[in-house]
Amino acid sequence: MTEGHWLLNKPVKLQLKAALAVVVPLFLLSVVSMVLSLRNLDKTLREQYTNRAIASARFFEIILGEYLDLSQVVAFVSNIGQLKLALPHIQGAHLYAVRNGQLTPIYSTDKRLTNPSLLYQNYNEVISQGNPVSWESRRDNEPVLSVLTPIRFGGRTPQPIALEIVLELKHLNQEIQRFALQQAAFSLLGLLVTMGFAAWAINHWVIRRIVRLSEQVVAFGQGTPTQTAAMVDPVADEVGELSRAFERMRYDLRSTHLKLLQSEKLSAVGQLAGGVAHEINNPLGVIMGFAESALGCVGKGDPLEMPLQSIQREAMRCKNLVQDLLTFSRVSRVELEQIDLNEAIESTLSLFRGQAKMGQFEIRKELALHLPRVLGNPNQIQQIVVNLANNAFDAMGRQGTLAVKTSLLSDNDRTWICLAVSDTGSGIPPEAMPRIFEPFFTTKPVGKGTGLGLGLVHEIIQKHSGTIDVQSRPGFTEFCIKFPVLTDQEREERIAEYQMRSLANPPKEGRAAND
Amino acid sequence: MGIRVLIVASVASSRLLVSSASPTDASPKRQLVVVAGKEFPAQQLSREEIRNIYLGKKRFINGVRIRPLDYKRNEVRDRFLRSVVGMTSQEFKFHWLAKLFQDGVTPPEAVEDQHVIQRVKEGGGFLGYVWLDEAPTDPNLRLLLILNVPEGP
Repeated sequence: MTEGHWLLNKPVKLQLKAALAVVVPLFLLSVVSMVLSLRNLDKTLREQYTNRAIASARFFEIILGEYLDLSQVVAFVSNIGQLKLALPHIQGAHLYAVRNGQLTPIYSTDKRLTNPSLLYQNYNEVISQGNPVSWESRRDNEPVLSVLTPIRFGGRTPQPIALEIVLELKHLNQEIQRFALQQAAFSLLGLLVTMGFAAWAINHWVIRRIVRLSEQVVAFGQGTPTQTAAMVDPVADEVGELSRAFERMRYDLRSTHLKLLQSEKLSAVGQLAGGVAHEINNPLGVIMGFAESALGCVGKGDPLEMPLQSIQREAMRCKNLVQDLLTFSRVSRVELEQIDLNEAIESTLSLFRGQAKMGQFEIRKELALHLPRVLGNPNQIQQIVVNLANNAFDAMGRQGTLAVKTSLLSDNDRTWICLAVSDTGSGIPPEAMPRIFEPFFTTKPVGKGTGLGLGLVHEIIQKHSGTIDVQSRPGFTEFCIKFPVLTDQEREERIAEYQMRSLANPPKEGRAAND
Repeated sequence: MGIRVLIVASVASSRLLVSSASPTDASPKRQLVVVAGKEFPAQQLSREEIRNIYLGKKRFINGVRIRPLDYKRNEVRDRFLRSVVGMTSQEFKFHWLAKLFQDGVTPPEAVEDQHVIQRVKEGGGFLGYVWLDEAPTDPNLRLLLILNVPEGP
């Protein structure tokens, strides 16, 4: 499949792939989110610290300029060295004045002053531009943040002074570290919970079902008949649809397979029977010829008359049987034409009227009006009706009803002409049902049937691209035959195909007749 | 000490009577006196010299460090700053804030009203100002300059 996706080509279980697909992005997402929020927090906290220092400087400015008397200002700044700064995380404060164009410390809460070069660098920004400046450094091996803010007393002093407030960053860093740990713990917990749920959900909702389906497909592929309708996934989603589609496919494949087997068997038996019949045909002709000649020679009441008549009758039976076999096994040159199915049925059923009168039989016809015509051979269509009717009468014994119905029905975008022949006979035993279309299979007493009737019906229907279904129970048997209603184009194609086949495969009937 | 307080009190009350007797007089002159101890290095000082001393511009006389005394907040202080130094109390404060931070010079020391006379008598370059009519007669005091200042707000 896709060559580029290395993971897809690896022999890794679907579960593991799905787990990786969920876990890896989630993990990356949480790491990125953590890094971003940490950076954000760091920036925000530093900003907060800086703003706090700037606010303290403003407060200092207001206290000095607005609230304290001159004497109190003097007392305040003189004692600044002893001032224990109660403000949290403030390590110290330094007051600078501008002397000789540079910042000179004048009052300090402690002796540890900032690196003069930094003051020099920031002089312009703080004093000329009037903006606060902050920088980070280390003091006593601890990280500190210095915020240098100009104090101008509202412009009422000729030169601004500058207040540097030194904040401890240790606490801030600890706070960030604690937050990072918390965040990591929460992320991990969230990740585990999400992963657990995702793994469960994906496995439960998708993977398990795909794996089960896959096992079923593999088993079916290996010929193990494990799947039953109960194992079809009932969920109304894509996997369920896939499972149901597979079940339909499996069913179709099995029935097609069975049909194919049946068809092959029929074909093989047909070939064999055809060969045998062809060889029997000539000796039969001789037997019948001599029987007829011998009958001509013996007079009425001759003791040989009855045996010769029997030979002639039975030879005729053999000849008919041989003819059936030949029809069954060979592609005979049949002319296709547009047939009115109802007409064909009517003319065929008329042959059975005499038979119906002999017993207590009723022939019921329900023929649909205005049926489209069927493309086929009238003799063969009649043969279908004859065979089915014969079977029906045999099954009914002395009385019963033979019903012949025609109708038009549509399914799967195709219209069919339906011919249903039903009887009220003994029914087909269930064990015989799979074999009824096999040649020479019969449930009739020996000498009564050849076992070729339904085989012929099946063969003819197949040649007409039709289908045949049977349902039977004691007291009722119905054969339902469907012929497709062809479009003009299909009809032409079918005729052309037939002609081509006839040309490529000339029937041997002529040769048989000549033999 | 008891006599001096008494004198100051009686003078103050007589002034009060006078000012209330003539309410139409818009800005009657009241006199301030700049006082120092008898060891003070100058006999007299000009108005300009006093201004410079209070603004921190003149800090030594004859090698002696001059230490001007100031009040925290009262009427005599306002009157003195306005008429002698030429500043409001706020302007004076910011002048000294700048001086304090820029030059490291400490502003005049503020003392309690009643301690001015006592402090100047200690000598050592101290000088202060009081109302003339409230100044005690004391041989240890030297009057450096008497100033007419307009009364009123």
